[in-house]
Amino acid sequence: MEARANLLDVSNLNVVFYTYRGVIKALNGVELWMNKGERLGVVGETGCGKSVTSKSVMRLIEEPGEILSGDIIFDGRNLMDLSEAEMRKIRGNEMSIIFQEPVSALNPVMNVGFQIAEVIAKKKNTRIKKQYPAAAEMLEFVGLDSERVMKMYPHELSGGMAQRVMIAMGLAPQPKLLIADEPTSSLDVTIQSQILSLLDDLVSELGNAVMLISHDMGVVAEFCDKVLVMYAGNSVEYASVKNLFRNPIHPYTKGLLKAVPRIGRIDELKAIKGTVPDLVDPPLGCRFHKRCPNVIDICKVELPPFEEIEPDHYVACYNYSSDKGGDQ
Amino acid sequence: MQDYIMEIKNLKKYFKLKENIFSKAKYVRAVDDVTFSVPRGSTYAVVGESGSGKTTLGRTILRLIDASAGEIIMDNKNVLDLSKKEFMEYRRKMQMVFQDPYNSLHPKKLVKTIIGEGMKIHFKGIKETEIRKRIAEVLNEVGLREEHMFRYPHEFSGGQRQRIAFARAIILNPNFIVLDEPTSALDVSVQAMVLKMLKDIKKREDLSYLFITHDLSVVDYLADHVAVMYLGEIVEKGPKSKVFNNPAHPYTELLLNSNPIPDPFTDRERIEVKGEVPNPINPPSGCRFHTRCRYAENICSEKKPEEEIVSEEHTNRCHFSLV
Repeated sequence: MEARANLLDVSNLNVVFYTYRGVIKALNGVELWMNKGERLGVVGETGCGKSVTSKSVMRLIEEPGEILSGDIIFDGRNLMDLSEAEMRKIRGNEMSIIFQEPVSALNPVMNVGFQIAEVIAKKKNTRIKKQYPAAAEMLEFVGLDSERVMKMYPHELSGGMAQRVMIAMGLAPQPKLLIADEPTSSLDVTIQSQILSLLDDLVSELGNAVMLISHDMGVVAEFCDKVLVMYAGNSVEYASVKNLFRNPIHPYTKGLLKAVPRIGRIDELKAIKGTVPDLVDPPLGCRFHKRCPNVIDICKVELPPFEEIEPDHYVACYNYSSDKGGDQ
Repeated sequence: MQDYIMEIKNLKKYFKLKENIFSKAKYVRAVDDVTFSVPRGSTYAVVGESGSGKTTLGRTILRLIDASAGEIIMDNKNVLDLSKKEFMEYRRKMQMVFQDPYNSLHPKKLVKTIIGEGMKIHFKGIKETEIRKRIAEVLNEVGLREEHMFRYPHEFSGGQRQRIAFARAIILNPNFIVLDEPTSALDVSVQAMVLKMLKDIKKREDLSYLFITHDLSVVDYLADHVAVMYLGEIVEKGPKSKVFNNPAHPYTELLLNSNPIPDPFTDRERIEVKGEVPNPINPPSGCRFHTRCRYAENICSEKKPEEEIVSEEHTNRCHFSLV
């Protein structure tokens, strides 16, 4: 099959977690692709699989989880065929990840300088000590006072500083793909604004691709070029940011956009009825059908394919043309 | 004259830090000289970032923690002066809903025990059947079903748990509820439902809310009045439309500007944010916001700005008011 994009092409990704309650079918044939230098936002609610998707792309799914099947074509190679040793060369090198809780993602017993130098040393295959100047440079690059921060330990950093350090570590090896998993969700809104504009500037300068995992439609609207909407382990809609916000097609996307409160547009707030399904026992067919206003018979038995219905706009829905989307 | 359900005057809550023989006792001034009044039947929002003291304010008002100084006037009485026994009646009238519905409900108690506990305390000797009847009523009111009372909290989703917490708050027919970030732990589609419920019940039951949050877009949906807090102080307060449309304090302007807009077609001019929230143990001198303010001049670090009236009901604390 020809790749749909030149950096990353994930197809039919299935991931499960084995628990005492049963098998959680966390990802159910996820489709996702990115071009070089592109910024993709992955949005969805708790449990939709957006974080699992990002971890799967890095092949970081550990027991009790398992990637059952799927292809992850990254820069011409299928990551599913690589050994763990080969994966290690890619992680923190060609692709890196920054997490939601920056303070807990850093090593608590090593100072900041060492941790950044370690990343660079690994990439350049040198001794860690030699990379301290480069680490200091990275800290300046993310707007921190390197002389002071180099010697600091993670517990001495504020949330905003820690996230800057994480960004420095993530960008230090100049990865082709940076995955940012809710990078600003634990931060205050003014600090979020700082971090996002910093990330925006740095990524524009370096030109790497970013996969931004977020539940915040505002953050995605401001930062990304493309958006993938996920629901209960499925890709349900993919389009450019402008297209998705102006012309949402999947009933879930429509509902989601109407549920987001926004200053100055207070009367339009609409909820989506029902709740997210339990992924131990997900509904047959489209996983959204029990909450969907457009449901028809086929939705209840068969999973809709993820199809391109207009140029560069993909939707997984049998009955998207019916115009009742989300109005309840 | 405006009818207020609650008037808060010069309320202070200082937390003492550990002292040793070499140093004077230090205090965190979590709530520092806060004054505002909640009109009856309205939703009064308190917004601010972490460390602004908004949660402490809510808890101090309900006497969950003791105030250091100030007055809280309800029904012409200072609630802070009441003895424990006298306060019982106010405990019934003032309720609270907490942020995290996963921690605020007892995991080993049935929903009916959680919701009905207050009835047993406030109406001694009440019959179990009457309690059940009332529990069924409030469960219906918050959009759950009667049979849900025989379940445990873990059987519910986050949104449903927050409904249970709300049912517990309204079962005693209070007239004032403190909502501390009631939807922050919820997904947007669920949040929309809970917000609607809060709005509906307020209308039906003639409630007044003190709504504590960091999320300005939710404030816009729910609130009538807003107070903006920064490091323990209210920097600006007034009717929501005035504060949102004509913010007078640079911090309010910054908060409004930092809020990302879920619309790729609006290109907002982003205000550059300076620095981070300072440590509340050592708040900056003068205006506490001056270290991050883009309009700050010398006077801001020297002199604390007085509260000034911008327009009717709208006040501001800034040497260089934007309005």
